[in-house]
Amino acid sequence: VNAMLTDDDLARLLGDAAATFEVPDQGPVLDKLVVRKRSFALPGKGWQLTAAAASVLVLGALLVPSLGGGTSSSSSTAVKSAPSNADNGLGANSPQTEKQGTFTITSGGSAAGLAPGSPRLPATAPGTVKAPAAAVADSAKVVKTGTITLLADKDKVSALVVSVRGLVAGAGGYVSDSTSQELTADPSATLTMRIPVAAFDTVIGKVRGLGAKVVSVDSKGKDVTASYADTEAQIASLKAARNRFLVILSGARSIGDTLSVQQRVDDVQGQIDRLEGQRRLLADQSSLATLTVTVGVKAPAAVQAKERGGLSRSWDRAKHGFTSGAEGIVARSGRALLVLLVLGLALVVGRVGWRLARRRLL
Amino acid sequence: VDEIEQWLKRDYPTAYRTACLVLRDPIEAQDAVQEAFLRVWRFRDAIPAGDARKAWLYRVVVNACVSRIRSEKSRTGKDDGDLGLLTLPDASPSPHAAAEHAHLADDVVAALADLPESLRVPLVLRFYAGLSEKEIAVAIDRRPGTVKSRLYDARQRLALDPRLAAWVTPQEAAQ
Repeated sequence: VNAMLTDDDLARLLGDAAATFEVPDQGPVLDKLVVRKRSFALPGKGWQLTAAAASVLVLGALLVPSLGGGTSSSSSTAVKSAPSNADNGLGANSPQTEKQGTFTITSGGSAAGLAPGSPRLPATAPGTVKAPAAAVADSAKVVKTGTITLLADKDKVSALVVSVRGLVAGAGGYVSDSTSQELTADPSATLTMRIPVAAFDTVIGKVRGLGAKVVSVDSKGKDVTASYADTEAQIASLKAARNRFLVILSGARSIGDTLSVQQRVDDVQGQIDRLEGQRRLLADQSSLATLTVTVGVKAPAAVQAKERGGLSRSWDRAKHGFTSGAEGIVARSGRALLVLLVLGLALVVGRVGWRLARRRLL
Repeated sequence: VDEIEQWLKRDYPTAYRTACLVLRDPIEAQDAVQEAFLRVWRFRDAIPAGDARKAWLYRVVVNACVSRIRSEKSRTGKDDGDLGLLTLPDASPSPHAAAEHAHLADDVVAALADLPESLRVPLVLRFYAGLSEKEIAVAIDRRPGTVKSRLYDARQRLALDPRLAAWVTPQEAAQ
């Protein structure tokens, strides 16, 4: 080879060739993400303090229910005081008030943002998303349920039901389901009520004080803070992915790319919707406790069985077995009787016919 | 963060055109650089300080480009040399005043297209992106000696390309 391109010529040739490619006005999409990141990021080490505060709150939320939760029944201390979370009711901290679609993150899961005014989280490792601090900083999410069984005089059942309804309404709750049999020999009623969590213990105390005999009181609390935070984190992650796909979609040049990315957007949106439903359910369950009150004139069968001894229960079983067997025989005998009846009828008809035929032959 | 943002913004046009020269397809190049920049942003904590970061950036860009070339190759079964010929930007005539210039640019792009990827990448990095041989070695993960050798080969091949004959200087004169 006895010819060569000089460095300057090569630089000029490649420069000219490169200049024919027009740089997109849009530039790197990173711009948008950086702007978002910059406006949401905490200055300096502020995020560390936020993360530490969030950790303390999570620990607190997990520890408190384990100390105060549980189930007990039919005693003066039947209802243990459940974890107090007054903010968990219908107040301003209700999850329904949370702004949506403001938690963003880059496709790599590194740039995190929250609603303006919320605590901020730092950039995380690729592929991971931390729960928004706002979700953790909110009060603990405890799903509370309870049942009370009351006994009253036969003529006082209706009045007792009215009193219970009044108590619940006064506490800001409502009756979600009710069943009553007031005109029978043994009137009874069952009310299922949704009560603000903050008023749950108070309502139970007032129901106990209505003057009826309290057969059993059962109160349970289930901490769903972790599930709630996890659901929120998943939603935030998926929303970030959706936003990323939308950015890609805006830059798609071919129909194939557009359809492909749109499909991904739809899939992610479907997952977001499903998780939003779960989150709303958890929020509803943790903001409104469920209390079921059963009123009757005698103790429920389950209570009677509990009070009886083993021999008595065995006798009951034997009696029940005998009755069931007899009922079974009677029930099955109907078909046999029908068969016998048909056979008898056929026999009579055959016999009469045989006699007539015989006379004619003779 | 601001500093990294500014740096990425500043280097985007060069990185994009580098990818264009390597891939010879503006759309593919845009996607590759976008992917590379997001990758850089994601791992911004690992960006080396000082001069090394330019090589680091182009290493990510080159990887994204090479990944696309190989993906296209495996999808179509076409050799690297053929890829660009099918995906060359529209070579429709430019305005008359720039016709000659555009023609030359097309010739350069076509000549680059005939180079294998292993020679094209270091050549573009050296004479368009302005990386040193050492930085290219980092970018393509090869030894500086290999880079030097590839640059020499690439330069020789281009010198033999008839489309660039007018630019070729006799070796004695060049020396």
